[in-house]
Amino acid sequence: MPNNLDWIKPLIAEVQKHHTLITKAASSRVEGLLMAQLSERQIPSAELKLLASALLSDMSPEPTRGETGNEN
Amino acid sequence: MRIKSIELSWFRGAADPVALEPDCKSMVAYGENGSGKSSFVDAIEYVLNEGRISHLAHEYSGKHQEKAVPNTHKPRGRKSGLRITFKDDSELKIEIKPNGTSVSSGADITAIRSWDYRRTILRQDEVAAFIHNTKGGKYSALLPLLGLHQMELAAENLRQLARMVEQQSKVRESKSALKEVERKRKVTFGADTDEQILRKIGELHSKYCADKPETKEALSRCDEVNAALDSRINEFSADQRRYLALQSIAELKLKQHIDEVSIASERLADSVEPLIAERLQVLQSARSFADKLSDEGEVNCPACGRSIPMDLFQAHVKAERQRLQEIIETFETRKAAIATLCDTVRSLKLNVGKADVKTWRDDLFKGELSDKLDYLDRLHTEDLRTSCGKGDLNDIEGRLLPLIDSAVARSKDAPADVKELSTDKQTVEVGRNVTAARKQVDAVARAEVLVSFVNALEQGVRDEIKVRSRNVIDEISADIQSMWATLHPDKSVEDVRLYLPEDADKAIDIGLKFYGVAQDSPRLTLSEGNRNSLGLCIFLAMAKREADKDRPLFLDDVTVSLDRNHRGMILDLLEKEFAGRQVVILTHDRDWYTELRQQLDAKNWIFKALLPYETPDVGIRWSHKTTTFDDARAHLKDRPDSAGNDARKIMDVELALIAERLKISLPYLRADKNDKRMAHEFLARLVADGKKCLEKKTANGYMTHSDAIDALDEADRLLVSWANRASHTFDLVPSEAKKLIDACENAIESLKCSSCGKGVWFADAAGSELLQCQCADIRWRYGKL
Repeated sequence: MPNNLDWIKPLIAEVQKHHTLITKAASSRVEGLLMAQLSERQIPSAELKLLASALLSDMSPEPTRGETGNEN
Repeated sequence: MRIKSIELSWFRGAADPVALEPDCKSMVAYGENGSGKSSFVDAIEYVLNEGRISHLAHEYSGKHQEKAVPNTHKPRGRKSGLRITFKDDSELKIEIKPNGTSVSSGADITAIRSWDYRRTILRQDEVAAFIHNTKGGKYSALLPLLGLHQMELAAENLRQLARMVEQQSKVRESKSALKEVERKRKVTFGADTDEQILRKIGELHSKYCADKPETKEALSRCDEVNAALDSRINEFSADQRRYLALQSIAELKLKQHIDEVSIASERLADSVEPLIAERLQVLQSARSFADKLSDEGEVNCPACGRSIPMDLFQAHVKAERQRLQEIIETFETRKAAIATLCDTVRSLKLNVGKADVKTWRDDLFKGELSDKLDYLDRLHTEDLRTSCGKGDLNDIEGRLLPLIDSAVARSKDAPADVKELSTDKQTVEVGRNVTAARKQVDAVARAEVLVSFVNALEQGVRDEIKVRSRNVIDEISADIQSMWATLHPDKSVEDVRLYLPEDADKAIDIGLKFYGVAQDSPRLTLSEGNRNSLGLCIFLAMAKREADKDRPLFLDDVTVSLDRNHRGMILDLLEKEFAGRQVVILTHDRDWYTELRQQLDAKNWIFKALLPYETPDVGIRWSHKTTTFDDARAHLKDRPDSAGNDARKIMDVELALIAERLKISLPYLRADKNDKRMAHEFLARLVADGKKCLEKKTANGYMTHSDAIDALDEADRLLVSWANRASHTFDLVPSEAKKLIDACENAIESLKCSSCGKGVWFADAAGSELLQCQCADIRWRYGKL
């Protein structure tokens, strides 16, 4: 149980339902981070800064249908 | 990994090498206070905690505890260190250098360092530590058992990530800039919608750029109108340009911006002044905070210094954080107001410096406002951003507003076309900002959504942690309840359990029912003895959950506050729950040690007694005997009366237990006198019954074990005469005391088999008719009674 973090994927999908502006790119990046890094060690602030920038650039400047993860 | 031996050399109380040798079995080591038994526990802690022993962590022990860990009388040239031998014969050697640092060699030290101290060692002063710990401290102690370390890391990293997204996207600053754009929009466009604003820009485009094709993109349209207006201005006469520049000065909302900074500053002062006073209190109360936490009732909040009930502490801290957040927002508002004021002053400087208003400026220099112009020239707007106090605001208001008033007066009679052009220019500039702000609004919205997304994920992880924690905690609680029921079958305290408080993350507490009434904490009702008993159950329940069941447990004098009844039940608990585990019990309680020695199975347990400590040069020493008569012998030279008294006390306990094992019946006495029988009563009965029942195998079959009967009789005789002298007339001489101790020890040994070493009560044989030693050389035959 402790090492299996697959349960995080449905959690992300569930949270994403309520955050319609989140792009697929941003959500995939968070999922990847959670599986690979965020659950493994305490991330130093310099790295967190880079992660935050990458996430912000993942967010589309002008969200469009289909890209937002919300088809409505 | 079981432990074979722990050998100490000039480590803590040890001098020349001395070893505790459980030989991979469980062990009970007895030693009176100061005999050095805890030095062996210190050695394990030293290894587990990377060279630190928590009870030595104080200002006098040195940076590396070099003044406390080595024996204070270590001769020069002798090394201080320890050696632990494990079941597989691997050895971990640690040598402690004079500066307190250490070098290890041999077995993999990381393996033993993976043992959690809190689930390996329980010392006398730590028994109730879990109960007295904060909710957060309890959670930390349990966290490794919950197996949720990764999830905790994920939650914490997500929290930090959300913070970093907020910082990187400059959400706060952007929101403040947007607020200013919104303010200007209201002034210029009133309640117009975006479409209406765009339409107005379109009209201006038609008015000033009729020769150009209509651009769809709103920002380009604004830029084109602006360029066209600038071109018209360039064609203006000097008079027209002067009016235009004066109009720009006249339209500056300097007074309004000064007021905004003043209001924000006042609000900030209202919040900050009491805050500063409280912060000062924090410094005073922080020191006593840790101490007070362990007390019941109220605690001084480290955030504000006020005294508040413990259960309100969490809510109080939350409220304090919210309050701080509100103050931060006031700070931001003031910062934004100052930025706007600086922009306005800079615009004023720019416009006043324009060549177009030279004649107006020259007039001012000649008149009363010359000092105001000087002030404006000298004013550094960037300095204002970092420091804008009340004095600065007064100066700006007193010296710059007259300049604007003058510009207002001089621009009143501006020609209509100039006024129109000025208004249009302002319309298109604000319109452009409104249009550009749309993108910024989107960026802020996206950043906020991202922050909220990451926060929601963090909350999701924390919720999952709670669900999983609850399952593990329920299992541990079931163990605690079962252990508590073994120690306290009377049911006055029931349903002892760990629980996760609803109002806090990373927190655990203990609940129970006291005579049927639910209690949120054992500290509300349980006596010190019962708290210690509960602390022991919690420690054992946590230790039981270790994945590695082969790790030893060290219980160092943990039954001090327990009465005889409950102490006795710990045996049941250990045999029931930890039969397959290596347990090392260290105790100074001679009665309990005797009890354990008589009752625990010698197949699985080793019993050793330490000699009383003499001097640091002599160090820790083991007695060659498992009994505790050496305690009495230690007083022979200086206090023969004490030695005699000790011998009798030892006999009282030893014989009571032997009588119980042999099921010897004594006449019933009133009240608790049954529990206070003296050695003489047991010996008299043992001698009387022994003459009929105690037999020894001989070549001619079983015969009365007369040697043992004589030994018992001799001990009884001396106890009645000399031990009474030791306690009443205090005139026992060392030779008499020695003879008494030897006789007592001999009497106890006489009931053990010289061949197999087991007591005559070792095994039942022939149903309930017979008890005998392991090899059946000696026996107690009831049928003869």
